[in-house]
Amino acid sequence: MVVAGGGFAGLNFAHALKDLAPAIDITVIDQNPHYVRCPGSNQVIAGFKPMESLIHYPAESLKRKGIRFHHGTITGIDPHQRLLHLESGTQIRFDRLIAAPGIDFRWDKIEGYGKPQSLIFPHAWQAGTQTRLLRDQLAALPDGGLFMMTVPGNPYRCPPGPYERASLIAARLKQVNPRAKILILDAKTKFSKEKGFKAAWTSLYSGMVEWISFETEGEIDHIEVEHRVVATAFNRYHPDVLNVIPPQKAGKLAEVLGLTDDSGWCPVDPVTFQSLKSPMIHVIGDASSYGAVPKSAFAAQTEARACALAICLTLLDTPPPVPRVINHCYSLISPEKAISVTGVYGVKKGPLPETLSLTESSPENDQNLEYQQAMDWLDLLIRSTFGT
Amino acid sequence: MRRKPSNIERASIITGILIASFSLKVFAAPSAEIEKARALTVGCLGCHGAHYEGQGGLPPLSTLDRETFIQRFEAYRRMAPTPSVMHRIAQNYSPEEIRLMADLIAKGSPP
Repeated sequence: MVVAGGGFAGLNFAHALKDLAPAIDITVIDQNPHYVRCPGSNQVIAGFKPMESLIHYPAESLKRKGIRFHHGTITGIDPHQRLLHLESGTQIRFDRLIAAPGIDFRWDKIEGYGKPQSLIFPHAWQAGTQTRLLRDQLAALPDGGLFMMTVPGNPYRCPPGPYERASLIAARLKQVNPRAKILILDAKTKFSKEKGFKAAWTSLYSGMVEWISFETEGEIDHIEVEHRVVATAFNRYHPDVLNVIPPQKAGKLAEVLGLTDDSGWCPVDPVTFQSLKSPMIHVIGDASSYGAVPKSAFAAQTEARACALAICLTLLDTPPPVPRVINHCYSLISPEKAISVTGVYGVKKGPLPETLSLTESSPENDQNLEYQQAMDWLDLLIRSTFGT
Repeated sequence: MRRKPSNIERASIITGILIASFSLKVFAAPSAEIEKARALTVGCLGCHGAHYEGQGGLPPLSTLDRETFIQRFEAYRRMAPTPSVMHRIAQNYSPEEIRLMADLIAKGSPP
């Protein structure tokens, strides 16, 4: 069994499968020896947590469990020989392949904003040097300056993430630069936990955060890097710091393996996560088109477990039962307060998971308690994924 | 006493491994039911841990006995909207599904 991609989906899959069937030989391949996680990275950008806290080395805990970790970049696949070709020239044979490629960006969607421009206007939507860059730019925001963020339409990784980022940045600026403004230009007309976020922006950061809906402003027309301008149909904005979260698609590896459809994401069977493009490959995590289930680390972990169960059963020619997927997601609205949303998903009429229930925090919820729970959840996620 | 292993345990046996560490509760119900329970509980580990061991304020499930597990889950299910996370989740599980999950997760479940 080969797992291509060592993020939340891939690593949790490897651990879950080893727990269920210890005799199965598992190799995890990733292009980096370390993983820089996105959950928690907004706290780093806003200067509330150190960058080092985001970095994990998965090889050690995999080894303890008898799972191999191979550091390398997959460049091709031979489906008949069941071989993966790596950039180093190494070939790795598999009986079944689990792809967990994460996300990549659609660099062709915003005129004037491609990968080179992301070094000037960071996305910070994959953690690492981009996180550091945005943190440093924010720290250097001029007195009374404008921090602007552009948010893509659905689907994208971590639907409430941009609004958590705006909240934590507001918390930082309120301390050090209270005349500064945060402007969010959104390609959507509504967003995850909207009520909770908007209430927090009013009560905690009055006048600092402005959200502009697609209905009001329409699409971004283009970005002018040399003039530091974001142009829409009606306005030209001159932000001091610009965070562009670009439209997204499945990670590059998904294209290398031939798993994507016209949407840019990977269609899968809802029970086994088998690719509808290549049945010997299963796709889990953010890269898969998994019905109403959002792209989050929590959902990736659930999908990883469900996929491991389904594979064990299909190896025995037993049809696997339909999983009941949960996504429970915390967002920080300040360094001590959080709100959450809980979705439960199941396969009903259609082929893909539908929402059975979706419940957001209400004003009754204790936001300090939710923050504590969020931190406990993050500790648990880190322990189960990276073994630390 | 002969216990009937579930398909997933058979997978491991077939692949030549003695699963000495599996506890009694895993063998408690007929295989199809245990496997259904496993599919129902894939989302639980996100907050309660891969082995239902809990973390900080997120309670462990592995220490609950079967009756307590069912009683609490049913209570969450029937509750009018409250600020608890479990009430948001519990409404999506039938009493039968709750019993199946208790058989898998709770300690000391009857065979």
